[in-house]
Amino acid sequence: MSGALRGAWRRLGIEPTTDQGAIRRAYADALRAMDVDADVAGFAALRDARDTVLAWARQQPKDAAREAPEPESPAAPADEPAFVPGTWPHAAPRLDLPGSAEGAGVVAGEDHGHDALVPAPVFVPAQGPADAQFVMAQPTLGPAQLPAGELPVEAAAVAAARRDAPRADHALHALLLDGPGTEFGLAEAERARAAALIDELVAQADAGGVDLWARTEEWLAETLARAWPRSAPLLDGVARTFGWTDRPATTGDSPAVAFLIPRLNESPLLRTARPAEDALFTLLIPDEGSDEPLDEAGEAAAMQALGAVLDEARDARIERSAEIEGWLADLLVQSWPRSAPLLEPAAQAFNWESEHGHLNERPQIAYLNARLRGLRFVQKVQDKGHPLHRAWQELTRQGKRKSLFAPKAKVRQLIDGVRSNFPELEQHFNPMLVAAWEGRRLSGKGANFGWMAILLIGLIRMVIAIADYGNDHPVSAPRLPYETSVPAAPGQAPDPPFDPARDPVLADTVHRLFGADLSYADLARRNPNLAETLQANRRMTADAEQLARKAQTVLNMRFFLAHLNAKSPRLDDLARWRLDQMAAARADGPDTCLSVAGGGDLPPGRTLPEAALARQQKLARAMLAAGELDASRPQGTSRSYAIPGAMVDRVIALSQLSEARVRAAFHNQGSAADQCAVRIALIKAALAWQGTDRVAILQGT
Amino acid sequence: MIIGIDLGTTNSAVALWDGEAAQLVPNALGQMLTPSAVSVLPDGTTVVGQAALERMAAKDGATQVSFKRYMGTDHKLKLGRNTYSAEELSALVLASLRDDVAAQTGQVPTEAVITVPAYFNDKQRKATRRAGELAGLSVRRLINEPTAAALAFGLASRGEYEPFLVFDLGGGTFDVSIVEMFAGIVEVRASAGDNRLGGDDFNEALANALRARLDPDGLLDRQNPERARALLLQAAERTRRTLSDKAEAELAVTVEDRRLALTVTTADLEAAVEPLLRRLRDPVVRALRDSQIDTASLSEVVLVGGATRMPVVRKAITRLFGRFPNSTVHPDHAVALGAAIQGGLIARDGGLDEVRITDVCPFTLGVDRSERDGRGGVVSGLFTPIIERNTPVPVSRVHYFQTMADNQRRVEFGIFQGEAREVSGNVRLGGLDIPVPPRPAGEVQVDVRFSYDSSGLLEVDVSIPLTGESRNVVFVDEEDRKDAAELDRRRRALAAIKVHPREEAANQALLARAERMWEDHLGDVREAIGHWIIAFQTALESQDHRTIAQASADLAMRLDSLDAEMPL
Repeated sequence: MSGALRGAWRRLGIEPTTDQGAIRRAYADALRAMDVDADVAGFAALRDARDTVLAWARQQPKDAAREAPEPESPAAPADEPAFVPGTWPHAAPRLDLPGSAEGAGVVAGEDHGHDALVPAPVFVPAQGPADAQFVMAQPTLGPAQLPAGELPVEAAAVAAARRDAPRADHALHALLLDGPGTEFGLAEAERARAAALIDELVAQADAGGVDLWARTEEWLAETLARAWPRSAPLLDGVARTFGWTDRPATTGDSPAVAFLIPRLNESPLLRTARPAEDALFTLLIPDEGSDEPLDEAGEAAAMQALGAVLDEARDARIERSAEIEGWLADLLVQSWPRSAPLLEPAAQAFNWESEHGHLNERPQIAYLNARLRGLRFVQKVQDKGHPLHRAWQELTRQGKRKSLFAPKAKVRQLIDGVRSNFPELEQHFNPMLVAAWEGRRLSGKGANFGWMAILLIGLIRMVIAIADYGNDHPVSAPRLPYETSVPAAPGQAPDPPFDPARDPVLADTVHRLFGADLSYADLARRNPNLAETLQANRRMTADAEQLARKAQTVLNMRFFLAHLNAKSPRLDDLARWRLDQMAAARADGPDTCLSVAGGGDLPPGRTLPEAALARQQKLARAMLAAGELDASRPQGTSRSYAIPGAMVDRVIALSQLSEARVRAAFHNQGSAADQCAVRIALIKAALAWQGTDRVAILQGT
Repeated sequence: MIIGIDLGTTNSAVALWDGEAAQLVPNALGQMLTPSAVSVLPDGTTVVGQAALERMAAKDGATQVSFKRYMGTDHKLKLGRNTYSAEELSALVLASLRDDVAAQTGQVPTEAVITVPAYFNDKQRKATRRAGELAGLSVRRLINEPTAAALAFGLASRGEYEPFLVFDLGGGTFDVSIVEMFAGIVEVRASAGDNRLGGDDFNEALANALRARLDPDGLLDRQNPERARALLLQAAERTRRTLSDKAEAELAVTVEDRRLALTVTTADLEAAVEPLLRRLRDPVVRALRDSQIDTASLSEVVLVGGATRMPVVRKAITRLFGRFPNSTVHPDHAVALGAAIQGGLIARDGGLDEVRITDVCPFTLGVDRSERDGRGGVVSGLFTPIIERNTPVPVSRVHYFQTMADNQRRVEFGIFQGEAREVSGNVRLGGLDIPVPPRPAGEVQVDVRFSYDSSGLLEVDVSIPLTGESRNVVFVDEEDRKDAAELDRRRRALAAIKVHPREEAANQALLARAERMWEDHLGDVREAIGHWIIAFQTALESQDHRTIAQASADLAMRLDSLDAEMPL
């Protein structure tokens, strides 16, 4: 027991106990015995003591419960999700791309106190006695060993009657649990197919009588539960069919049903592919990753979808509405400037402007509020009475030469004002005119007016990235640097004998990195060093999830190292891969983005979107084939390069930051958000750039 | 005897702790609620309460209502030939409540607990306290309205409660508090609010939304704007109340002998107040977030404040929390009862031995600071919080600052309240200035201590450890600087106001109501009301109690039956 805790018990005047009622009574007695107005410090100390002790007590029974899970725990009333103190609402499941692979990982969150939100562990083998029981009742289902997992005979008979089609239960099982890619969310086509299979099963059960109905319900519940969260988009339909909606789980429910019922109330955005949210997401973040503004039809569709989302938020209860708000804000930030037309109605619905300038203004809201003020300014400046109206017209018209009649001071004021307040508005200006007014010439060569930006990239950063990894997810085995290959030392042969070529976890990991058709043996042949690294890590953990993360770390590092020396076109591929990574990291916060930019990893729970993952696999295959996935380090520890002036302009436009902030970010100064935005913009600009220094910049960023 | 007073925007009430329970004290009209309205009659006497409210839209414009909104500001309110501050008008209401207690108990109370909206800032609190002092009451404590309501709610059942939420939407202010109750301790976990949102805003929104439809010819635009506004707001208030029970109501005003009327549906009301309903969400979210409680863990949502009677508000609340609110406490009485309980607590009444209450400071308090930016310039006007919002009170916190320039001779602090990063977005409560010994920059340390007491009043101490110089209670706001003599002068000035005799209050209210109805009606009905008024005035002049009582009963009955016939 720590000293603070001992002191707290003493102040409350009771012996250590986990009884929260007793603690509160002790606090109440002590409070009654004092005059808080006369002893302000004593009051503060008493409260601190109570809070410390209560926090401790809350910790205790929770741990005990974890060791011996109570059977009722999954059957907690559905409308009272366990509350995690200290984390609301940030701990609320982040809404991610509906139906995408991220969903699953993100719910878990980073905090270990979130158990309530993590898909119940009961369906994962080897978690404890209670789970083992459940697993026994429901052994691993494969087409080869179906008895426990297959549907009752009657249904089988019905299915068998239809010779042309495979049995629906087998097909559904394969689709959800056994098939390739089952660690990801359901794609739209898969979801439709699964729904059709479920319909078929339900129809069979409906024709079969009460007993078959009950067994079908049970089978579907178990299948969905075991395939959670991949099965999430299917839950609503099944729940409606079997009447799991609008009721809490009871002790009469099977564990699978008891697991699923609370999930019905959990973040439906995450769970089900809702048309409005889905549509909005697809419109704003199309697969091609377009930054172009929405076309007219797209804008109308987006507005309509937004209307539906806002209606839902308005009618929802507070947490849900806060969740939608967070999701929407993230989405608008990520898809800016495409999302510009949606900002005003969204901001109005959620009163975002009232948060402007507040001590705890959320970063996304701060970003959106800044954009909103820019939009407002554009509207106002169109008005003839606006003092800067003529200056605005001058800078936004066609032409190359400055007008003699334009108000000089106002034009300068406008340029300066826009740069410092609404940098994104500079895109409205005619660059030729801006240049003319600033008395500089636009040219392809940066030397004329450009300035040099020097970026230092130290290997230190990479070393830090490696060392940091693993700090927040404890590993029971001694930590090894993952890039160290560990040849099996004589006399230390692993026990039991471990055959990497047959290990399913390792095979999974290789699939995840390189696609389904590459085996561990293939990898070992083509890149023994990488295979060995993975194998060494595999021996440290049996947890597939953990290994997958480590493997991704190893791959990230190799990609990162490769890009430092690569030439086009591989360099371009790697640059695009890094953009994917940074985009995913940005959703987590600017610090994560910077860490990823320096070769760090995405935080646990945050993975690349499906499309980006596919690109990553393709790239990994290509580099493996070309022998480019070495762990060799580049020569030298720092590099510098010049950024041509025109590219700087492009970076300013892309990042939508003021010149001063871009300049600071080039020197690794300024806020992490700025640095992140500038890095992304710089890579994009460099990819589009065809001049000198392209390679140096792409390698150096 | 410590009385508990709910000094509301629309209505006020007073209650007493009788040793076992809190009891409301009725006013001269036998009502528990006294409208917070002050009016000057043509004869120069002042009336408070119902009689004043009836005169709200009278042509002489000598009535003030909702002045609580101007509490703590220098805004002057015109009343007849004089102008008053909000605290002075509030003092008149407080004095009237004090007299009600005196009439019931036979002794004039001298001490009071007065409630304020949780989100009232320091200036507003100080003004409220001065209002009490001007009314000859020593204000033992200011207590937050939702906290008072929580006390009343908690004590009524004496149960243990998981956190519950008090949703207090009054006439002019909106507060949300999250409260926990266990073993006799009532603990406020967090409060948030909007001190510019209340039932008045709903009236205003309704009036604004329908004005064009009601008055297509712009008849009202030709009136004295203040009177037109008063007429509309009064009509909107009546309409809004009717819509609480019915699906349709009439919105009607009579101007220039023309009656403008319009049928209003609940849908009209909902559309008009939609933006206001949206503003209910923010404080709720803030309070939940600050107390780290989610809606599912709340055991109850307790409604307080007259505006929570509106079905559109209840609907919004049900939507927000996904459940029906609790309406076991009387929304208009709970705050005054809670204040009386707090009075009993301060008096250490035996019946309340087990009870203690702890509250929070619902907003962030701090000072402005300057700092050097990366380029050697100075950025000033940054807000440094010293007491974070929702810290339990009483609390005392100290922060350390350093001098910025070599040989700096003095340090100036502005004292601010609010949530903005830059002080320009916050409320300035005052400032202070302290000399420091000339030393190189950064060598002189300045300690700033903020103490926030149970009444929600702030005290600031600054000291320079290097010289041992310290200034206690350096925090002075403009009003506080006025000395005791000034306060005394104002008290005497108020006392000199000729207030209409209490025993005549009921008749005065009746007369004012009849006059208001005379204005509202036209033709034969108006003529009839005119006759009734003359008959009643004649009876009043007779000074014969029985005659007056009879006439007053007759008039009241006639007016009631006329009201029942509405809408015409």
